Order: sequence, then C-alpha cells, then structure tokens
Amino acid sequence: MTPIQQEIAQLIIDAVNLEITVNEIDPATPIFKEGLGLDSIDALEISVELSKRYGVQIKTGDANIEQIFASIEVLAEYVATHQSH
Amino acid sequence: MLGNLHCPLIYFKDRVLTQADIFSAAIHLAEALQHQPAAHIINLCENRQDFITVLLGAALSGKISVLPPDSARATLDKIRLALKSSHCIHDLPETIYADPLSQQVITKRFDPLSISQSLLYLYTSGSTGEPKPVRKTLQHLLDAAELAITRLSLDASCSLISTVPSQHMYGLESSVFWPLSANAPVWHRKTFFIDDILASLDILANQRPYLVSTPLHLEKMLAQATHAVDSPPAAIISATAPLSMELAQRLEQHFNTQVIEVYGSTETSSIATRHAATASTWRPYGGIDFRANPQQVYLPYANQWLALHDDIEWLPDGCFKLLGRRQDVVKVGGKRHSLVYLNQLLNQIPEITEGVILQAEPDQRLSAFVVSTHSQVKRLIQGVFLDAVDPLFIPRPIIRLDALPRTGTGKVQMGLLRRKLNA
Repeated sequence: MTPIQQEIAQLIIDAVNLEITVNEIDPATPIFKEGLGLDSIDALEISVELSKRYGVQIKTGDANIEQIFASIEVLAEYVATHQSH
Repeated sequence: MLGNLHCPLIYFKDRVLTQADIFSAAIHLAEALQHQPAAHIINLCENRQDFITVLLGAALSGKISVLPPDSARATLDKIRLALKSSHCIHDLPETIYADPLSQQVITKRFDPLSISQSLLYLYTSGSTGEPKPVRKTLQHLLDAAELAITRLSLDASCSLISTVPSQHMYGLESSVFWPLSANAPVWHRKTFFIDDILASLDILANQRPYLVSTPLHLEKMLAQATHAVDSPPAAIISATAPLSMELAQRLEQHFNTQVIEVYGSTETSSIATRHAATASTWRPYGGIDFRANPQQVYLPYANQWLALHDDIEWLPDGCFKLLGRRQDVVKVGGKRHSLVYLNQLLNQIPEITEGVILQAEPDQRLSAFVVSTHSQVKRLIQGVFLDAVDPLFIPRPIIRLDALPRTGTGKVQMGLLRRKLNA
C-alpha cells in the first residue's frame, strides 16, 4: 500500500472500530458489504473524519456513495485529488 | 390532491420541476403501466422526482404502490413472493419530464375521487421479522400531512431537504406529502454526506429550507461543520430516534435555528412534536387523541384507533410522555427489526453452537456473543446477515465466548454480557 492508502485504511479502522489491522486490508477490497462489511452509516462517519483530516469535501454529486467508497485505492485517489490541506 | 400546478415541486442546482411537470410525467408513466400486467409496483426510486412520479403513476393506472424497508435481496424476495404479481421500478428516463401537459389535461386526469383511495403498502419488520405490510390510502397520507404542516408552519415560502429515504414513513411524509400539501419544493436527492447537505442549503438559502433528518445525521453535521455555516436551515426537524436535549440545544445554538422533534410510526404517520431543546413532553397534532386508551392513538381522518409501539403517559395539559418501547424490536440508524428474528438468523448458522444479539445503547449498532469453533465465524455471520437484512443490522463487534453465561434457570445473563461490552 502507498502511504496515503495506509493512512486512509487506518482512519477507517479508527473511525468505525474495525477489529483488524492495516496489514490485513487489501487496498483493492470493496469497502462495503462482502469486503470490509461497512455500510452507509459507516461511510458518513468516515466522510466526517476525512473532512476534518484532509479538508476534502465528500459529495455524492452525480456519483453515488458506492463509487467513491469502492475500495481503499479509489478512496485514496479521491482524497489525493480533492484535498485542500 | 392538486395544489398549485405552477409551484416548483423539485429543486435542482440550476433548475426546477413544477407540480405540473411531475403530474404530467405521472400521466405518461400511467399510460405505459396500463400494459403492465402486475398489480403491484415496487417503488425503489431514490430520486425524489422519480419516486413521486412512480407513486402517482401507479395510482393513476390503478396499481398498488409497494415501499420496501430496504433493498436487501431476501427482503425483496419475500415481499414479491407475498404479492404474487409485482413489478420493480428503480428510476425513470429523464425524457419523461420533457413533455408537460396542459393544466386542463392534468386536472381532468387527476380526478380526486378516483385516486384518493389508491393504496400504498409500506413494509416494515413485523414482530416475527417477516416483512409486514402497513396499508395506507393516498388520502390518509394527505390528511396526515395537513395536520403536520399546520404544526410545523410549512407553506409555499419554505422548502425541504431530507436525508431520509422516501420509502420510509418519515421520508415519505417529508419528501412527498408535506411538499405536496404545503406547495413547498423538495431537494431532488436524498442528501447524505454533510457537504451535500450544506451545498443544498446554500442553493435553497432564499427558500427558508427545512432540514429533515435524524439524530445520527445531525450529530455528524455538528461534528463536521465546526465553523458558522453560510446558509443555516430555517428549521431542523428530527425523528426516528430520540434526540437528546443537549444535542438539540447545541444544534439550535450553532445553526441559529429551531429544532423540532417529530414522533410517529409507520402505522400512525407523525402524530406529535416537541421543542427538543426545552421540552421532554410531546404535543399531539390537532385532532389526534389518546385519552380513551393510552396504548392506542386515534387518527381523526381515518376514524381509526391504532396500537403504538411505545408505552405513553397522558398528561393533564394535553401532552404526553414516552415511557419506552413495548415490543421486542430494535432500531439501528432509524430502521427497526425484530430482535427475535435476528437471533434466529444467528442461531440458524450451523457453525455456531449458540449465540445472542444485544444492543448496548438505543439506536446504536448491535453486538453479538457467539460460541463457535469455526475460524471465520465473523465472515460467516456477515455473509448470512448481508443476504437477509439491511447491512445496518450486521452485528459488530462479534465476541467469541466458550459458553454463554446462564442463570440457574438457564436464562442467558444479558446484564453480564452488557457489562462485558462496556468494559
């Protein structure tokens, strides 16, 4: 995993109290459902943490939640291209 | 049924759809539905415009609208099996809104007598966990909305932004029937992320936006919007789970607005409000009566007594106090499910010797204690629950024990497990 992917994996683990470590996560695994097993309420919690940490605005806009939260890879890419601090 | 046809009903970033636009689309859809043999239309639309169009289109074509509690495969399978003939609609083509009809045509087609008795089934989790239909007519929902908008002072000068799905009773009221009854427009999406909510508030700043949401969402909004926001809501409405007085006060202070908490259920629609920052008791809407039987509520427009899920205490000033939930039902993120069913689901997994589910705090995620020698038991549980229920009900944490602690009479010691969770 790249440093930003590791950071985001750790942020997710902390935000929703997942009982796993960063090393157990494959950055390509889906975040929702059969992957890490998270749901939309977790996504809301994670979006608040991402906003506070990186100043990134998480908006569904024309995309949907599942697209932005497809995997750690996709989310890290989103944060890297949208962050303001 | 028909309000002011020229009023905007759906608000987008850079355009609106009027009531006439939506009613026209419903008439077009109804024509297409005439050829659809299914008697029931399962409305899975997420956008408000598609949801309302499908709801009205179904009514115009003599179909029954069905609103499922979630879109989990097993839930939909059970509902479709019970209905025998049904057709699911997820969304509509944008072109359906491109062909508005004249006021005369709309008024003629929306003959109030023919559609006000149209049926809607809202499915909820029954006490056994099987989806159970709650039957409503369009007229009941319009009448209930009249009582609500009077209490909430909603009128054509206002607008609504809701974080709740339209298939849920609270979402159905706030994103469909309140807007229709008050001639007030509603934001086109179910807003979800805090930045989406703030962006829609900016766009509707001159339209006195009412933000309709849940304690869970409102708490996150306070956590994220640490600075003063540019466009605070004209009012905040909260329901589905108890809003603490402390959170209500912080919301009022931070957004310089009033917070109104609404009480109701799928069966009754909303029936009472309180000013959560100062009041602990609830004031029923006009005409709603409990006095004859404190475990039931009288709905004047349906001339009907309905059982409540909560025990209440009627106070001399006409208000009431909630004493607690009566049934074996848990709520997570505003959705309810039968705890008996969830425990059955857990104990049906062959690799689990025994297990029990509990909820440490109201409206919070469930936890599970299980006895199993299987190394991947958490994955197994996740898989089974994912197929059967909304992902919100997947327990987390899942804690393994050598045996469940039991009393001498064989009852599981829930208090002990609860303390383990908090330790």
